[in-house]
Amino acid sequence: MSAFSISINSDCSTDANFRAWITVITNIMATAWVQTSDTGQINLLTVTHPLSIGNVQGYQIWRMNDSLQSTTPCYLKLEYGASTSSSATYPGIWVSVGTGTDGAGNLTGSNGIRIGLSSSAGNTGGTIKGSIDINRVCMYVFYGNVNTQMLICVERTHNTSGSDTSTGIMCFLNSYVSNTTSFSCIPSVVTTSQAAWNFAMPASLTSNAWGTNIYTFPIRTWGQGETSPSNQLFVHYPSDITALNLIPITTWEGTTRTFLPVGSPYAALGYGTTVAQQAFAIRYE
Amino acid sequence: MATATTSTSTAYFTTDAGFRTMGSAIGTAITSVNLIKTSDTGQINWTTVLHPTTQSTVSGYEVYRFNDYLQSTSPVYIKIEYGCGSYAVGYMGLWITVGTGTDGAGNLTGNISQRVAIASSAIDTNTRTSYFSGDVNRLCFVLWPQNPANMSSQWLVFGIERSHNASGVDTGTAAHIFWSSATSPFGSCQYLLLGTTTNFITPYVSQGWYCSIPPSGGGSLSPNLYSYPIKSYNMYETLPIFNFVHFAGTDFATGSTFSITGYDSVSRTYYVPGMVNTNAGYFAFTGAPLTTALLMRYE
Repeated sequence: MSAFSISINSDCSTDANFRAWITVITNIMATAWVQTSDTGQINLLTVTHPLSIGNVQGYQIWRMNDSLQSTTPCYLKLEYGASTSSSATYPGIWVSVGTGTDGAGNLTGSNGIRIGLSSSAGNTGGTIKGSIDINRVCMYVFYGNVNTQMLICVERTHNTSGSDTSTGIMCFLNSYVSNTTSFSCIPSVVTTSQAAWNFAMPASLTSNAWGTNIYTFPIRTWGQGETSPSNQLFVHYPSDITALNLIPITTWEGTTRTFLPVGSPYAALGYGTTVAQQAFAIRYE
Repeated sequence: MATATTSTSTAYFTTDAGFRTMGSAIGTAITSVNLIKTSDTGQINWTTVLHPTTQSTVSGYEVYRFNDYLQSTSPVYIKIEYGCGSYAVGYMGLWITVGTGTDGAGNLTGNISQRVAIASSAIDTNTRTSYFSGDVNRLCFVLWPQNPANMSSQWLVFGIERSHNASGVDTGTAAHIFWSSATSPFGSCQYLLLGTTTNFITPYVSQGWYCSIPPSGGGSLSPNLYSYPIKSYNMYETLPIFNFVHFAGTDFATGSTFSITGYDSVSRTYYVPGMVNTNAGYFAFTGAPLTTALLMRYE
């Protein structure tokens, strides 16, 4: 597993700039996941930049590379193009998850959920931050501007020991346009996407610092009931943790992982709270 | 494990006999599901107690305790005060407090929870069944459900159980206390630490049960129906309780009994007592969430 923080510009105004940010994402994904041999995938040498808002210029199919892939495969389809917001010069990414592919870029065993993430501004000073392993990815693309940044977080479900299970795939997303979305992909089960994350946060508090510890809030989605918590995302009260200061978070199964608080408080990240502002931290190891 | 039911007129008394019948039935049901009534002095005498004639009046109390292997090291005592609630003369009210000890005269000692008031704000003239489930280490009850006209105005809901580890086994860390009635229609809960005073943090009371339910879709995913676990909160989100779970209101029928497998892979029996809440937890930040209802453990 590894963390990354790489400069990336939120810009589709030229072929070169459009290819540049897709290349950064591609290189990160290739460090731990495997790009499939599906035909028709985007050619980063020849693809042209989108000319209209919402245009998709091409896609990639990635698969996990862990021991569960042979029995419970996970495929991630990323489509690249222009934002559905105000300008074709702003990036857009569409995310789908499935349990198979037909070899021609169409996911199979998918629940049919395809979520579009869009920037509503350009950004020449952004970064892509996050971490990746053979069984998960969590990347905050175009980080640094609330109008450009997009979160893509995919991982397997976990058991009470925190180990991956074959139950399903959890996907957590966030961007200016789609705000906060989550969905799960459970084989043989029809699930729907949700317009917010599933977490509960006491409304009457503004901080959760007790003694020497600060407590964060786990995030789930819904599939067969409530899924296990994400190991890649936690919500916290904004005032409790300083943005970009790495923190260790110990989960209920006793494992400590490193997280990066990304600041940018939101008003409505989840269903489970009426707290005025929430922020989240992404796994960073 | 055991269950019990009582059939009494709904939450309403006008005579000593009516109050005694209603209150003593609750006490009898609690002992029948395996909790122990303590020998504290001063406990209510159901043959002589007079019914309260003014609102917010307590006529007497009983003290119960767990009877499990953790009771010697992490004791749990439950004081139930019976009387007239805050809504109207003759409307039943209970005040429930949990502590880690008792002085033998009805006063809880050690770490003590909030004194929980649950009361009916409506009554009807029918005889209604109340439902109890418990064991040596837990108790839950729902009084006077199944009146669609009044539902959460009439019901009294209470549950207490020990905290659990990741395998679902009881721990001596804390007690989960959950309640709901017209006084707290969205439900409230408290996670009472059972340790010594040196590590005790004043228990936080959540206004709302700690549960997230999708705003659409429900839990029906063939071939199964899925329910939604309820947790406590004290510094951090606890592991789920077993006394109650929530479900999408359209998924289960009132009066039904179901087996639900928990996070610990243990199957338990639950009953739908007939409650429908439109907002029973911290899961609504925009508009009305999915209509939800309550399943109580019933075995």
